[in-house]
Amino acid sequence: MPRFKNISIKNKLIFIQTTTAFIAVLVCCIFFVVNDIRTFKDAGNRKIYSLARIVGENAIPTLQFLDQDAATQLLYKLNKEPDITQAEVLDKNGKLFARYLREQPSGDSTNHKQELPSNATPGQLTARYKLYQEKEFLGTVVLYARLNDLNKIIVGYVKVASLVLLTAILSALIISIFLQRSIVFRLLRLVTKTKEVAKTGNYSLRVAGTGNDEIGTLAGGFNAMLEQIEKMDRYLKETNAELKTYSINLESKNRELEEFAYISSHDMKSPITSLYGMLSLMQQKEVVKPEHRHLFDLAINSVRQMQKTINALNEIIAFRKTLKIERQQIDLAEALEEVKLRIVDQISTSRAVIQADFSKCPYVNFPEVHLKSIFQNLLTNAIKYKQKGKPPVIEISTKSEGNFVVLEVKDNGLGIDMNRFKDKLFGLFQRFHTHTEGTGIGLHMIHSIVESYGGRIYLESEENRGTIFKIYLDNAPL
Amino acid sequence: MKNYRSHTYKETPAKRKLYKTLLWLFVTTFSFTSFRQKDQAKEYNLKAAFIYNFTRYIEWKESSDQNEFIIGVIGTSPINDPLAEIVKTEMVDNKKIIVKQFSKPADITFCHILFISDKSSVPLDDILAKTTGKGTLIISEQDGYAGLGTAINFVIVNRKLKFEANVKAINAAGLTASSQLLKLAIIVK
Repeated sequence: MPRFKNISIKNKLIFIQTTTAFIAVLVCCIFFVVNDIRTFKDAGNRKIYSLARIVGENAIPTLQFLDQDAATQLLYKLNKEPDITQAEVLDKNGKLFARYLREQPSGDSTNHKQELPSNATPGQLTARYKLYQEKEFLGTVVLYARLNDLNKIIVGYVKVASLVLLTAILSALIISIFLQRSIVFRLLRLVTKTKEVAKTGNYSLRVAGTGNDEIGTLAGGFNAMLEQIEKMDRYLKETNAELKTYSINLESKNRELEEFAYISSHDMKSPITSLYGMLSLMQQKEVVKPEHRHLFDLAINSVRQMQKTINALNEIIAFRKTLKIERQQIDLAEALEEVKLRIVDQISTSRAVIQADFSKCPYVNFPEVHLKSIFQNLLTNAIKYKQKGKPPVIEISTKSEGNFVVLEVKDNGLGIDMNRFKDKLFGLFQRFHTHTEGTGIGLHMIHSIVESYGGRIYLESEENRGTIFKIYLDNAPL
Repeated sequence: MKNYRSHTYKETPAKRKLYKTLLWLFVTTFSFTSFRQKDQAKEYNLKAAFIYNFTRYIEWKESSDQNEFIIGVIGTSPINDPLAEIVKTEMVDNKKIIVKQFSKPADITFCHILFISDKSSVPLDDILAKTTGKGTLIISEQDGYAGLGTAINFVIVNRKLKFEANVKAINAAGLTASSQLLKLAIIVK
C-alpha cells in the first residue's frame, strides 16, 4: 500500500482511529441487530405455536362432531391476530376441514393463497399442531403467519445503527484530531528541526520540550546525536586546520628539498666534470707514476661514478617537471617503432626479437613522451638484463580493461628475485643486477609516470625465466 | 295416481307409454330406497360415533360399583351394528362398554346412556319416569324430543347431523356437560 505509506502520520492516525471505531461499532450493531431479530423471530414462533395449540385444543370437539361451521368460527377468532395470514384445520385424513384466510389489504387473494404455503419469503412462519385425544389422532391445525413488524423493526434498527455509527465516526474523528496533537505536533517539530539542521548544517540546534514517551526518547536521542555530531564536527574542523598547516609546511619543505637537490646536483655537475677532465688530462700526460697507477684508476672510476649519479639526479629532477603534460591519443604501434629506432644499436647487437600485438587495443590516451619513455625503459631493461648466450625475446601486447589500457611486456631475461626485492622494485637508485652498468632510475621513472597519471604497475618475475610487466594505464578521455 | 288409473283400461299406444312410466317409477323408487339405505347406514355410523364421543364431554357421577359402561337402546335400531363395532375396540374411563337392548320401560335397568330409537313405540314419559335422577344420559332422534325432556336429541340440519342439548335435563339427570360440547350443540330450553 504505497499510497497509505506516503500519507502523513497525522492523517494515518486519524484514519486508523476512525476505522477502528467504525469497525468496533459496526460489529456491535450487527451483533445486536441479528440477535434481536432472532429473538423476535423466536418469540413470534413461540406465539404462533401456542396459538396453534390453543386453537387445536378447541378444535378437537369440532372434529369429533364434524362441525365445520364451529371450526371455521373458531378459526375466524384469529382475525384479532394481525400476524396470522391463514389458518387451517385438517382432519385425520389430511383433508381440509376448515379454513380462515386473512383478507389482504392489497393484491388479489388468489395470488396470496398460492404464495402463503410456499413459506419462502423471510418473516414467514408456519406452525403445525397435531391433535390427539387419548392417543387417537384427530387432525392437524396449521397456522401461517407473517411477521409484519419484522421489516419495520429491521428498518428501525438500521436507522439507529447508522446514527450510532455516524456518531462513533464523528466522535472518533474529533478525539483523534485532539489526541494527534500530542503525538504528531511533536513529531512535526522534530521533522522541522531535522530539516533545518540538514539545510543549514548548524549542529548547535536542539529540539525543545521533550516528554517521557517514545517521541520524547526520539527527541532526546536526536539531541544527543546532534551534540555528538557537533563535537565531532568541531574536532574534525580543528584537525583539518592542523593538517592543512602541516601539509603546507610539508609542501614548502619538499620544495626546499627539491630546490636543494637541484642546486646541489646542478652545482656539483661542473666541478665534477672539470675534475674528470683534469684527471683525464693527467692520464694523457702520463704524470702518474706506475706504482700509483692503481690508485689513480680507482679515483677516475669514482669520479665517473659520481658524474653518472649527478647526471641521473639531474635527469630525475628534469623528468619530475614533465609529469604534468597533457594526454593525447597515441598509436601504440607507431610509438613503439619510434622507440625501436632510438635503440636500434642495442637491438641489433643483442639480436633481440620484439613481437608486438596491439590488435586488441591499438590506441591509448597518454602523454606521448611518457609512453615512449615507458617503452624505452622496458625494452632497454629487457635487453640489458638478458640471459647470457640467448637473444632476448620480448612480447608486447595491449588489452582494454574498464577504464584502463593494460600494457603487458614479457621478456625471457634474468628476472628478479621477488622474495628479496619485492619492496624495493620501484625505489630510486635500486639495482638488482650489478654485472652491467646502470643507474637504477628506470623502474622508478616508469612507476612515477604511471602512478602520477592514475595507473598501476604489477610485476611477475622468476629468476632465470623472465619478467612480466602489467601496466594499467588510465585511459581517461581527452 | 288418478291419471295412471284412467289409462289402464285403454289398449292404446298410450298404454306402452304407461309401462314405460311404470318402469321409470319402479327404477327410481328402487334406486331411491337403496340410496336411502346407504344414507341411513352412514347416518347411524355417525350417530354411534357421536354417542361414543359424548362420553368424553359428559361427566357421570362416580358410581363405584359399576365396572362397565352401559349403553341402553330402546326399540330396534340400525345403530346396533355400528355401536357393536365401537364396543369391540373402545373403552370409557377404562371401562368396558356393554350395549343392552330394551323393549319395554319395565325392562330398563341402570345405564349410563339410553338411546331411544325413532322406531320405539314406548311413550317417552314412561321412559323419563323410569330414569329421572339416576344419572342416565337420554339420547333421542326425533324432532322436538329435546324440548320434551331428553338430554340430547339428534337432528338433521342442512343435510348435516347436529344435536340439540337440553341443559336442564342434563343437569336434572345429575350429569355435567362440558362447555365445549354445549358450544357445538343447539341449546333447547
